[in-house]
Amino acid sequence: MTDEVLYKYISDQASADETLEVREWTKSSDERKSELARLMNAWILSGLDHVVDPKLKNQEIERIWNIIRQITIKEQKKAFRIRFIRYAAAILLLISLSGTIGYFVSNLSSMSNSEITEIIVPKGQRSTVLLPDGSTVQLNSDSHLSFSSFSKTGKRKVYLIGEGFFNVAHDKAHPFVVEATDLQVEVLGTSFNISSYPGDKLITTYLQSGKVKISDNSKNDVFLNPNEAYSYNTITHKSVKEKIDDQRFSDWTKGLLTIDGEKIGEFAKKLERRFDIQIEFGDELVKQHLYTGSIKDQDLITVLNALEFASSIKYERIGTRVIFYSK
Amino acid sequence: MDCWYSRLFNFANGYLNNVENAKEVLQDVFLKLWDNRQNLEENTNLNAYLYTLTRNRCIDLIRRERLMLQFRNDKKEEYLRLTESFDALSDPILDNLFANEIQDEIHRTVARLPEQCRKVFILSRTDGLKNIEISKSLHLSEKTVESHLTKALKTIKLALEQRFPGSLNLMLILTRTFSVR
Repeated sequence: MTDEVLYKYISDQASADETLEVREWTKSSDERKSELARLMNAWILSGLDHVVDPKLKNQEIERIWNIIRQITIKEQKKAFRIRFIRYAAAILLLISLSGTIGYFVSNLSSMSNSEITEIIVPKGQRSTVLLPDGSTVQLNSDSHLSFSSFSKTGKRKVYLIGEGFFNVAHDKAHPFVVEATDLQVEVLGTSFNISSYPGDKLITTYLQSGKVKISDNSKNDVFLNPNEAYSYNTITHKSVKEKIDDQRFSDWTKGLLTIDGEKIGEFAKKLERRFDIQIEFGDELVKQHLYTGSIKDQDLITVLNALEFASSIKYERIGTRVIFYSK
Repeated sequence: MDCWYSRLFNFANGYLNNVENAKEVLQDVFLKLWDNRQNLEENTNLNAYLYTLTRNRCIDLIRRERLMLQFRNDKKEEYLRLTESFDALSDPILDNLFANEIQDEIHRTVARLPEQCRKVFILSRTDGLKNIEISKSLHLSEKTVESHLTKALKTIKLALEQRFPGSLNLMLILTRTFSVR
């Protein structure tokens, strides 16, 4: 029995005779068994850098992410049901539910006749607001909502800069209108999301239930059905309507940060608003990758660690500055 | 996940010798990691965590496979192989493995091998070439390749044993159960 035969056996290159020889050799003694086990470990551990077929690897990774995505969607549905019960129990609760409450209402009624109410949600905060007509708006970080008194003007009209998820109380006689940059959305009773941040290329409206009418600068009216999204490009002034099968546009209202095939730059903007940080890029390559996924956004470190683990990004954090590098 | 997948896959497949089973183990490992993501502390050694999970899942899977193969005469060879893998996975030397040091130790040992021996070994382990392919590409006899490889493997085994001493008592190990948080 030579060491070479053992090696060939372990590396799966032994002939039938040699295999038999190894079997006979180990049969009689635990010491020999352990010798074989040790050699096998050395063999396997020294081969961990072996290149795995990228096709197999990518397929498997994609499969795992798909399962994770499905689990996440299930969890979301559960969470939504719980929240709905809470809504029912606390109908008249003015503000809350979204976790962090940070908003400033400056009621200017004493200075002007029109009674404008302004709600400002700073970076790093989120807020839910109950409007006078019973509609609720969940406002995302770095957003601004203002409106004149509904009762005095007789109109339900609000102005939005930033992102909000609206749940509009039904009132056929008084259409609810949201004015966002370049865009006006009119509804009867419905829930939908509008994202219209200054500096963002796209303004999007996503309808969860009901029906809305959108008017953009081109004066063309567009009607959205549930699970449809409308994106308006502020640079090219072109608009697109598309069917959306997941809930990525309203995920933020459930404390989830979701990206779908976006470049890191888009994702960075969301992170900056959510956590009030500044993101920089350490190299050009890091900006090129596309990302898809969903994660709870309760704390920054968890999100960054998950990103680092799941992608080819490394990060460095200095106070409120975060720098991304490619691995 | 990208960079972890290859190494863990090579690890699992090394013992299981079955691509489908290795895929299954890795899927379990990453889903478990996802389930546990909130319980992981910032200073968790992810390396240790993932390897320990993978090792334990491999052990579970071998237990299952062996039960199925146990009475099949046509699968004797597979059964014996899995038994050997099981013994190897139970080797307490792997307890230390998952600290980064053990992989560093292997890299250091490989780097210290004589040049020809190292070349042959890397072609075999990193590039996955068979002995005969190595002998052709380096113009060596197959016998020489074999002896280089054997020498390299023994050197690594010895280095690991010296660095992480610990007696191997198979009887004790075989009845031992592993648990991960």
